[in-house]
Amino acid sequence: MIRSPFWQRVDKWSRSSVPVGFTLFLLLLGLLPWHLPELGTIGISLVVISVFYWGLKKPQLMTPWSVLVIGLIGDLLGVTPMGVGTVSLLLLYAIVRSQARALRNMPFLVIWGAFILMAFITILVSWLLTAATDVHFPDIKPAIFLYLFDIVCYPPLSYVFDRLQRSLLPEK
Amino acid sequence: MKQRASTIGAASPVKIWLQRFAFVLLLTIAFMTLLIGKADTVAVSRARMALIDALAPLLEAVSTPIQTVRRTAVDVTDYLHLADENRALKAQNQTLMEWQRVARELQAQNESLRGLLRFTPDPSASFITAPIIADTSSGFVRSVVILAGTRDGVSKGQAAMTGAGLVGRVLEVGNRASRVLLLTDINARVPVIIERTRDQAVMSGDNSALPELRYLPRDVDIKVGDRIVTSGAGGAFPPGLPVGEVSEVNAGHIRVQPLADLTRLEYLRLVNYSLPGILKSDLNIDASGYDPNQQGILDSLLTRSSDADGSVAKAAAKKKAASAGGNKASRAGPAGSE
Repeated sequence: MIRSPFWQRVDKWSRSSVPVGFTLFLLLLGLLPWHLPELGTIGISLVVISVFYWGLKKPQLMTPWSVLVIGLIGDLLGVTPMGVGTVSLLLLYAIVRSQARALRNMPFLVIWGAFILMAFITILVSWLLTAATDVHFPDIKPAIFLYLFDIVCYPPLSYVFDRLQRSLLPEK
Repeated sequence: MKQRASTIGAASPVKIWLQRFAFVLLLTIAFMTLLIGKADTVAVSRARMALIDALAPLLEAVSTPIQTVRRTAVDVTDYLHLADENRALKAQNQTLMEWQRVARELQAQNESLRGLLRFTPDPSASFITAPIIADTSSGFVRSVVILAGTRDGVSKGQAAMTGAGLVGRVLEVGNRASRVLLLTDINARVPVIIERTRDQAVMSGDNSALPELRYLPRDVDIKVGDRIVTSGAGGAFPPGLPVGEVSEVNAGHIRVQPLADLTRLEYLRLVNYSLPGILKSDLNIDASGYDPNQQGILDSLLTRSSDADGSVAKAAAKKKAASAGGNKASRAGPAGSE
């Protein structure tokens, strides 16, 4: 069946918006009242994973502008104090892009290790920016829990992203 | 063709320049949002509530199945502990019956004393109960979004409570949803009083589960288990609302365990006590920080907050008398949580 150019464009557009769309979905998921012990909600954790993964694997579909928009939406929804999420995610994106060549074709464990390091920097920057804007050091424990949650969630989520990428965004 | 090539040739350096500096530009925008957010502008608040309003139906739809699953799990756990709970409740009922008797006696005594003092009753409180549709209580912010807004009668500054005690304060109001700042948020400040010793303090959040008590007298006699209630200072909350219990007294750091379980909130009761508070936004103070129309409120605030110091109160009264126009004093005082 041959589809019209219009539907081909719609199909292409919807496929190429998967990374950003999925990241926004994870942002909303982080807003839900999960009532996890010690953690409360998952906040920005899953978004950090998504920006790292798509920034590394499909930078043309996860552009810095889309990271800015995702960060702004997160800040406006109250996941992070205004501006904190935007700055932290952009910083994460910049680090990921700067190391993309070195991480290309690396085994999963190396990429996971890189994520552990970069997530640490992201969460630390978020915590420091929160402290700077409020002129008061917030409790470090919730930030540590978010970081540990990120580390644990990376393998299953990256598996889901891999599947998504293979089925919806095959390499040409 | 030649013209087209020259157009591309002219555009390329611009494109390369843009790519090179795009990230710097984005980071600058991000830092600007940080500063704008800190300035707490009305535009940011409006944009935030417009976005939350737009997403409210979606959040409600997604959070409902999660709430149902969680409630079922809680029901099963409750069922397993039914016998023990029944026994405990019977014992508690006995104690409460005794308290009820004492309360009735005190109520009768109170009414007669009020009559003697020509007591003006507190403004009647109104209640709105709303479900929580989003929870942003992460390491960086402690707030929740409820499915009730201006159309339901919610207004900024209302106290948010559960059956157990105070939870926070309405910070931003949209048409169909509102954001409530929890007691544990780093920006939350609640004037409180220690029920046993009557010492006043300010309970201050730091994004941890246990807010800290600050500005207490040095020689204060405080113990773990002491109940903390709102002091009413500032007019943000009425006095006597249960807030929490002292959970930790450690080298000058006193931590409070809120009575309401802030990690398991499902519904909030918003209570309007018709108290104005003195938040800048409540007083409509302009960007310069001064509004001549609010001078009366500020004067009365000065008089109220310095009740303990007669000289300051007199000075404020003298200042008030000297000020032209003679604005009427309104009920206000130091702020609650913002």
